[in-house]
Amino acid sequence: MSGDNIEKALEELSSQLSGDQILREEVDRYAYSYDSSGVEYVPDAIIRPRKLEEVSIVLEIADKYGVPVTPRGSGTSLVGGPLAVRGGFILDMQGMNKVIEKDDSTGIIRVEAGIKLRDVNRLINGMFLPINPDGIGFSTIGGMIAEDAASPLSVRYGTMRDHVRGLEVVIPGGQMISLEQPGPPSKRNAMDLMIGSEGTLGVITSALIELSYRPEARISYSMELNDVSDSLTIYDAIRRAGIDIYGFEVYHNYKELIEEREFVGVEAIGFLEIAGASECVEKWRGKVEGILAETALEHMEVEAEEVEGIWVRREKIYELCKRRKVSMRVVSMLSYQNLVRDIVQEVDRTSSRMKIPSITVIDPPLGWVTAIFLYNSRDPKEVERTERAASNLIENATSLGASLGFGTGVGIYKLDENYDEGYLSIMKAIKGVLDPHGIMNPEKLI
Amino acid sequence: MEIEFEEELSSDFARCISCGGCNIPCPLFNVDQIESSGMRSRIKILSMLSKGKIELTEGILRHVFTCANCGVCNDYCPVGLRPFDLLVRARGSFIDMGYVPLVTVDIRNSFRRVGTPIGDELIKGSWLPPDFQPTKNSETLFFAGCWMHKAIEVALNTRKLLERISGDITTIGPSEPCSGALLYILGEKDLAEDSKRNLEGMISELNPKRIVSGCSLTARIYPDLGFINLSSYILDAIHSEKIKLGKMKGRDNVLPIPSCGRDISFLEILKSLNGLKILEAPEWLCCDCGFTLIYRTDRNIFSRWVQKVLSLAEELGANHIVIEDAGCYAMITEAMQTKGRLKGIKISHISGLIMELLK
Repeated sequence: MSGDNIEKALEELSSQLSGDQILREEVDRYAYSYDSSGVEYVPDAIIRPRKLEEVSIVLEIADKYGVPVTPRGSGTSLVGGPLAVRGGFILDMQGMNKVIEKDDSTGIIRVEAGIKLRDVNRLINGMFLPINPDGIGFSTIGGMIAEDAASPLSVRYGTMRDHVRGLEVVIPGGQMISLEQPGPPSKRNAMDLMIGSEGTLGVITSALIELSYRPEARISYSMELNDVSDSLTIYDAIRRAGIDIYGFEVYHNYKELIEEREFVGVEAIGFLEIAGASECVEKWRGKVEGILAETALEHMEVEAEEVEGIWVRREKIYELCKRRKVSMRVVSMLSYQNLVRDIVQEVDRTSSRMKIPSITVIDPPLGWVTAIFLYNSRDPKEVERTERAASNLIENATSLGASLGFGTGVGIYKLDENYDEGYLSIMKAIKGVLDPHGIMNPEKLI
Repeated sequence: MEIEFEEELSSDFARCISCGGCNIPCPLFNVDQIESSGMRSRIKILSMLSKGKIELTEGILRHVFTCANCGVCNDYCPVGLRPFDLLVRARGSFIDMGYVPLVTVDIRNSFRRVGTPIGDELIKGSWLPPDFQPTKNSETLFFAGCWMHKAIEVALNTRKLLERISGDITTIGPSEPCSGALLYILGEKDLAEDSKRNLEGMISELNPKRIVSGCSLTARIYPDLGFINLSSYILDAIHSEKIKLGKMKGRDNVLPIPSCGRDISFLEILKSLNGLKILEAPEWLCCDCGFTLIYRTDRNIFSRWVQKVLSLAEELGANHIVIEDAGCYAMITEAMQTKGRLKGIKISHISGLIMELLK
């Protein structure tokens, strides 16, 4: 990337934006060089738009000079999504965080892309956006849409894609495009192309989102399983009984590492939650008890006061990191349900081969497997073994039939030619049309 | 310049998972949501520095030493790093290594010249009678703290209030030393320790039964001193009916600004008062003497923080802001060059509010 072009682009931008919207100090550049992936790339400058038209100006000028533009929300990506791999501009969307409109009766809200999930969840009493990728609500809506975020409640509520009703985007060159149909989005829409495209096609500036009602009553269970696959038997039996699942997550190697002892015969522990109207949930209680008694080794209903905390199980992993003074490397994969066990075993094999302990989090109904390697980031050899473990796992899991980046995006780990060739060639063709100079978030996804 | 921190400190920096949790309650991050204003950037930049990925410059040193010093992020780190405590350790390390940041020079110089970090022009004890002498063996000693000496109306109200609560009250007076808490969090461990020892010496000579602190930062940073926070003392007086309070005239919608130690007594006091609707403050809203650094060295960011608080108050429909800490009250009113009202919103220190309601 030519430094001259960056300077020319910045000079033009400075005549259109105010001084505090362009950050170039070394501290600013370092502060925008990271996300939650543990990888760093230092950008040349940070641009902070306050409105749609300013995003358009940035993309027009950046395109003219061929300067890379990497959109960034809160920087909570686990895969380097908002890192400026080729330098250029970070487009910090956090300044665009307004609520444009909201309808309390339908739960439809229109918000700018930089608003944080925790602020969205305070907008309408009794309603929420049931995707919480970072567990603390710090992620921005734009980032969540760009990565098509998922979370433990995705078994019931799907991914971010399932909650977006319209988008406003800006593409390289500065064209502003509304991807919103006059009625509800039909199956024939271009919005789905942008969702999950990880900022490689354009910048999401605002979104029309449909919130969900918080369930009236919930009951949670914890269980010990002899086999990861038993979770699928339980899931099937519960669905067959017509019971609404709120979330289901299974942890492998969790208890051993958290409690630091062997659990003979227990391959995994699970957390299940059912939710609905109070009378329904009450009626379902007995049936769920029966199903769990039949399949799980042990099970128990979680105390009412602990129910809220059930989906912050991953925080226990953070606590483990704290106790053992280790860091995490996450690989997120999606496979068919019948392959879940094979993938979990592959994580185990990789873990023991590379001598890097791991915890595997599984959302059985979705086939979502997240491997979390725990390593000492102060030991260069361990860092190297962890990176090898991650790339070996990706290679082996994809050959088993897993796809990458579900719920987190792929980011700097990119897709290669061996994986989903059709998607890759179509996306490359589309990118060639929308972003002919390749300025949008280069070195990501495709 | 390459920096080598001690092993444990480097290892703690490396454990940061960069989740951004510490930015959630960070007052400076919430002014305009710039990553480099927030706590995460300080820990991450320290981590890069300790790994030798970047070199130390004056800009980086300034960044590490510039924060609101509220310490609320300590409770928001999922891996238990206690980011603020980590920052204080890093600041201490820099000073031990001989790196003196320009940003704290004024504060250090003020302290060395006149014994207070808040500015050279401070005359302590002007709210006391000219012939004031501290008394020994009193029931309660009131440690006013530097900012209380500056906010004279707050000091007068607080003194009157404390006299109503306890007949037998004294204070150190014009020679009251700074506790050193602000210097401590700016990494000046030796200066802070000297100041604290000096204060302890004076207190031990006066031998009071209890000490009430008008400086929230002192109570927050030095729990070992056993100082009672002013709010806790007032709340206790309300509960034990040592003071009786009347009803507010009209109905006030109150936005509370607690001190950063988040002593729940302050909110409990407000909730116990008749005729007030207490609005829910976001996690980033707190202020005490820790803000002195940005107040003195970057008035622009301090003023933007005040504007943010006022916008929030307007958004929530507040017509009254009640502040717990005397330093916070002094800094806000001085920066905005106003007393009593800002943009039509009444501003009170907790002592003033209680004095208004005293029967």
